[in-house]
Amino acid sequence: MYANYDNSVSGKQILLLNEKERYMSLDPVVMFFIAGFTISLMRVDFKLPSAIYEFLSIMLLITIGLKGGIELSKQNVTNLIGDVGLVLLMGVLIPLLAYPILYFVGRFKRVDAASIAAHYGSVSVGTYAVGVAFLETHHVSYESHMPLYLVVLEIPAIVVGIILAQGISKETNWGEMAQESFLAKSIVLLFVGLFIGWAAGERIHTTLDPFFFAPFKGILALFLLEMGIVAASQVGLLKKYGLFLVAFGIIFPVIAAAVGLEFAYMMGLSLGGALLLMILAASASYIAVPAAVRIALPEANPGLSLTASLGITFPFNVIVGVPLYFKMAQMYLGG
Amino acid sequence: METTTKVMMTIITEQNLEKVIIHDLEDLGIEGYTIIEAKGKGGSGVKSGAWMNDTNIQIELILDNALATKIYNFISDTKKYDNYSMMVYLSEVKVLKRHNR
Repeated sequence: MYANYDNSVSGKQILLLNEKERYMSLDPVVMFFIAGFTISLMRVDFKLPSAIYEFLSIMLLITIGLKGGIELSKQNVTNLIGDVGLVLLMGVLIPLLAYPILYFVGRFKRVDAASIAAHYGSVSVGTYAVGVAFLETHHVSYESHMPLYLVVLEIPAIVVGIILAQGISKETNWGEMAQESFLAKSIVLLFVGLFIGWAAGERIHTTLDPFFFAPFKGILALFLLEMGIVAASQVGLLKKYGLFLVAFGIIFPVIAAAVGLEFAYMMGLSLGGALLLMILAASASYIAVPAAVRIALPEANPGLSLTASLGITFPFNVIVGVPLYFKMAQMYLGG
Repeated sequence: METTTKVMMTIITEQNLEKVIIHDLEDLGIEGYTIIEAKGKGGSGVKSGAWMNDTNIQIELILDNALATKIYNFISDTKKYDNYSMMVYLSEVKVLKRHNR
């Protein structure tokens, strides 16, 4: 009975909204983000306990890793080597694109421009997860091995950022840097998911489905509630850092998404895969890179890059960017 | 009450620096330490403790005078921590004899 009722409602909705509006309408998980953002701006003293937040991000990372791993188990991994190379190239290209804009136009100090460039060259798993939820909501399929690229893209931007800041010759402690970035919790957890997914393959669905895959959107919703709160706490700093940073945090992701779209085209990705690659290109890191850069480039102002990536770009991508990039992909690839 | 007088050094700094500073302190000869996650406000703004890049740590060391001086001099002289928020203070503590091998 209830199922019928549900069907009729969604049927009505589809009738009411034309195709375009349907893609622009907000995903419920995004509403959780906006709710968190609003709660925080109203100075309501609420946040998830940090252990819960940690748990939610662990769940997201492992689930995303598992999804990718299961897909990898079905195909010949060596076929992907060329594509992985292209994605690496994209990861090097994006910070190189961001740096001159920040240094020459934004007139940031060299080390700050390099640090922000590193943040934007790397990726945000939260934004990626919103993209996955968007595709699932709209029943658009995508290449499930995309999480592999998520892992691949975490690294090169940090290296490029450090080289931009101080050149190769200086006494960079690459050992400590590698420890911070290659063995960052997020990368390790994604790898764990990818490896177990790859090793166990489809068997995972029969045993782990109810725990990992079924609650994916609920976990993401709670995660985004907390992220909304954290992102809003950065808003106060926007005034301090000026208009250029705000403009950069909104315009650069769109440029980077266009770069991602071109790479998606070269790799022959489907519409859904293209959207996810664009999101990877457009998103900026706010966990792994800040920690690595804080150690590798202590002179860089951590507030600057974090405000840009977390206070501006993350909300922009989650609310406006994902549907916008989808539109761009549709127009370019035809879908 | 049998106690020995020792120096307690308290270092409050960014969580990101934990591995680096513990490595340095061990090189200087400490045998143990206690780390407490902390939040607060100071010269470099609010640390809300909400998530990793926004959390402080408070490191507590119980030291004899010689080692306390050595660490104090290292922290004063090194340029390594210049760009990190850090607060260091010393206090005299009485440690139970049984803890003083």
